Amino acid sequence: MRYLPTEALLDGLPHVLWKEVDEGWIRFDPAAAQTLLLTPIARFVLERVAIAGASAGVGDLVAAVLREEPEAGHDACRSLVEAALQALVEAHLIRPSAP
Amino acid sequence: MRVGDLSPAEVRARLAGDGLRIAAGPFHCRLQSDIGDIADELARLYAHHPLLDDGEFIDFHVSVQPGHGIRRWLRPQARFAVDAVEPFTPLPRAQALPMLEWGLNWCITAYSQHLLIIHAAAVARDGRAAILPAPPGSGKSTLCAALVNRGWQLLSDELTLVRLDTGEIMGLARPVNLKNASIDIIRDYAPEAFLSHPVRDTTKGTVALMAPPQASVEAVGEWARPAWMVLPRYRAGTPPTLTQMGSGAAFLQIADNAMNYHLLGSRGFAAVGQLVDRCRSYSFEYSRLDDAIETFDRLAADGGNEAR
Repeated sequence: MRYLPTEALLDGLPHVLWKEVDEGWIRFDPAAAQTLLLTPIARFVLERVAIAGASAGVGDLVAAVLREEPEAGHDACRSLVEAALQALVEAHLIRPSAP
Repeated sequence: MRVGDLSPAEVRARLAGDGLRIAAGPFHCRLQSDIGDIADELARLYAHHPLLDDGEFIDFHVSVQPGHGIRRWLRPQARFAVDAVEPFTPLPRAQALPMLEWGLNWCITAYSQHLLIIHAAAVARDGRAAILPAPPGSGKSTLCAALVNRGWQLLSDELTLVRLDTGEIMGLARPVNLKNASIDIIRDYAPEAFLSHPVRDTTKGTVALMAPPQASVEAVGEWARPAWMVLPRYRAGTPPTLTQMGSGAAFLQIADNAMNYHLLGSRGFAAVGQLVDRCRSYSFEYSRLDDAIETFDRLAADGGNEAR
């Protein structure tokens, strides 16, 4: 499964505001009137998908996280990435696409 | 001069005439009503509020009037109007007094976009405010009423007003809206407080209004610094439990309860962000008011936003 940015994500990008909080980040998109609490890894995943402008797979994202945090365990990292992807899909910021 | 300085006849005459002009925190209100039944209780609820001179600017011209035509006598109605516009459908006439309060809340919410308005109670001690956002039925108003009868300053029971420039909490010190079982609880807990007669069968159940303490009305111009955000929840039989909340969860709670957060856009986002930065945030379960007061007093003694 690969993931793409949604139009809502790309449309809102220039206006989005961020605030760091205890649990991670608050993302506010004034155009969509959407406020989300994202874990740090969810923000990382979101930025990877949005910046790439192309689809990203779970494996790519896990590898990217492990490059940043080499001491992290692969399985734990994968489950965190999968949870982040699910949250971002539910928030309509990214969408799955066919491989 | 204050509302309590007027005789009952003078209050009735002003309500039925050019209006009872009062200051409720930062808002100037002109109240009019030909429903004489509400005059005495209204005068007691606002006894300590200052009267305004005729020439002073009025923010909200509001009235609660009897129904038209046959509805003056057949299932009599009360109609709320602001600037001669009726934003709500009429209610039974027995609900005229709570309708006036709800209507004033609506005016503040609809017309005060220079402030962040949170659906929350706010109380203060030594210039530091505790904000209590919570859904209906959580015991927010009961806790607020108890706190202000045990030395805390009432800023507001329903609408917390946050200045966008300084982040301070402004006072309203208007009556506290008590519902259902909380009416008798507060009557027992604070027998010296004035409560209006309970009005039954409203959309919120049975409601009564508690007059704000005199000290709170007199201190209404003293804005408070936000220090705590406490999400209260009454749960029978539980000991008082204060649990620290992350600033992200606190942000979402405040944003969810802010009436004009999205309307304010980036200014609303900044205001809520500033609020969570300045507050220690907690969820709080309680069953006994004395325990709750003790918990809040301990918070005040331990310090609040200074620690952040």
